[in-house]
Amino acid sequence: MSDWWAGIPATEATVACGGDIHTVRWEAGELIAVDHDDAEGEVTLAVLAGEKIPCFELLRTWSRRRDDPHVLTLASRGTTDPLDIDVDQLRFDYSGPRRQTDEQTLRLLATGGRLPDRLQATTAAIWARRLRTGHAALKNARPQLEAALYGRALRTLRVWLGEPRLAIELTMIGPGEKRRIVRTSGGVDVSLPFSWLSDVWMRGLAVTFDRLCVAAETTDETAWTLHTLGPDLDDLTRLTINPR
Amino acid sequence: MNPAGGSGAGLPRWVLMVAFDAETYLRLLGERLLADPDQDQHRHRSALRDVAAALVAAGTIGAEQAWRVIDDYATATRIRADRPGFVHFGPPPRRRNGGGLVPRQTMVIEQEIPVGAGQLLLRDLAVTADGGRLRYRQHLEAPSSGQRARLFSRPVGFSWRVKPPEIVDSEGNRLVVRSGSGGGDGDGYVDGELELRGTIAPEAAWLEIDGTRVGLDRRTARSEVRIDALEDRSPVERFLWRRLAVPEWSGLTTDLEPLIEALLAAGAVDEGSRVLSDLRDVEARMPRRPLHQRPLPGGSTRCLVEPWGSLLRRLGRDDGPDCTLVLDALTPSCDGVQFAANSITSGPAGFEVEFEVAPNVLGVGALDELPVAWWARDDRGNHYLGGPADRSISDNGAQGTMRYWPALDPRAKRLDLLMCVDSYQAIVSVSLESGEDSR
Repeated sequence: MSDWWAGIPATEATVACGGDIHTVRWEAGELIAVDHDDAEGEVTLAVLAGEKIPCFELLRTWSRRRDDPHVLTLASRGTTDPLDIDVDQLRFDYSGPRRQTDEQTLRLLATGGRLPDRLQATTAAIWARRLRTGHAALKNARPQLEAALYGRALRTLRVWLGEPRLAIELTMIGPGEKRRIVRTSGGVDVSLPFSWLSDVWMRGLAVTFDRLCVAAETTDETAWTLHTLGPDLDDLTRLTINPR
Repeated sequence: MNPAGGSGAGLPRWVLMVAFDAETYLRLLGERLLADPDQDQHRHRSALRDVAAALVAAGTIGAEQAWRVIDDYATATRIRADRPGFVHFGPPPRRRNGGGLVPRQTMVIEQEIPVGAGQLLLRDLAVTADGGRLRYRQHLEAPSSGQRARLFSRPVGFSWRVKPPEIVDSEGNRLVVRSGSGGGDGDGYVDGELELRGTIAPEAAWLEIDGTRVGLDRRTARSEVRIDALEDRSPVERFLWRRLAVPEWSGLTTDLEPLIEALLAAGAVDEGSRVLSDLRDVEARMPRRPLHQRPLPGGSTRCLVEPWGSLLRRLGRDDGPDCTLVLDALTPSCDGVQFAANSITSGPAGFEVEFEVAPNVLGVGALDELPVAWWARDDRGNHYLGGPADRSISDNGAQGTMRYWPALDPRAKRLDLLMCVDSYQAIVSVSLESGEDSR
């Protein structure tokens, strides 16, 4: 099995930090404060001085929120779903822990570059793994995970098929179960595992060469084998691509 | 699971109940609302709310958990392009417990006195243990002969602008004006009231207001109050009928189909059930904006269940009598809510009731609380439906005008005003036979 971040390009965002403009970089599943060489020492000094270092604050918030399924509820469902977040202009109706965690998530989703996309890729990968291996929080998170899959599959199919009013009925299957996309009188029945999000959608492979990708695999993280369907949904075909 | 449809016809209900997860259903609906820009949400109200309330009524999800979903999608909606506003709607306020309306005795005055350069009609005085409330109407221009209170008119000003009037009762008790309010409207009069502090003698025969004496007549319209149990229904049936009786926040009649679809998916109702058939028949005949547009007559109402058939039978009639009755009706607490009716004013297209209620039940209500419905019925077998036309709300209660449709049957001799709460209804039963153009 490949690393979940395989095929997802690195990305950077800028942070106003200590009077300078610093860079944070996401690469190979990790967020790094590029301009801070001695992270441990700087954090210690900052704590002693009662100061906060914005680059490390961002990393800490990322670490706290990256496994929150709420990220998937708020994040973009793709290019047809742009976010427009000005955190400082948002007005919250009530206080308490909910406001704090939401504000943290919104600040991460408001960072520049493709960092918000990498955040939701991280969240999806964490929950795909937890669904595979089991986790105490799964029972509570499952409705959010199913909705995350539904919303992204819905938009993908609507755009790909050119049917803006298309209705889908989703069955979230286990990773080993048979994936199916079938036309019905009411729309399209979709049977996909949650891992479709991290394996396919987050990698930008959902529609490749105008075909819908239902599964993607690689052995060397260079060449990818895609299991794809054409618009009539009945010709499952393998495509091999090399994104590089 | 498809929130847009799919009743699961053919499957036993218990299979659906086991497979159904209400939170997932709501979240998928939230995804559809995000994806469909034409199903936009009201600025301060989530389109998920009514469906969530239906699923709460069916016992498939707790109110708090359902609200969390509404909140999540409220936030998600707000951070999409061109959708500014509050991140959270905030949980809806629950009805407050305790409190109530102050017992009062209402006396009819119906006498004009001079105020400033004009005349002012003192309508009535509601006497309480520590004061009272004097209600008045001031015509901004001299009324034409025979002019009557016009239905559906709204106030705008206050009559005693310079200093409050000096008031004393026939027993020598001097009263202090604690506050005053009033408003006017395009029809040329101001309705208002003065809150009085001090003792008013129960046997007082008159008041002197800035030197002008007015008699206190105790003849309000005859009325009785009582509490009755509501018809025994399942929580889901009661919820659906209630939602049909109480318009949306926007004044539109509630669209029941999304609620019914959710309940079908949950296995809480059967597609072939009589209640769904009855609900849909009635909904198809309901006016879209009953309180804000004069409803037009529809088709036959013979097949409709009561009270809906008799409600819709007189739709579009304009034969309501012109009359105003002063009432002295205060109900006991009904499911924790108390209701007072102060007057009924009837016009050709409907009638209005000046009311007070405590605690406030207007515009509040958690997902697991039924909205209060305001029905009325007469001795001719007609029913009427009301909703607040204007209101002022405080922490402890609300007061204002309840507007009822359709027109009051001119042959009616008795009118019951019904405040339907949870399991009980408070009833103010009014004799209309004394309603001879009291204004």
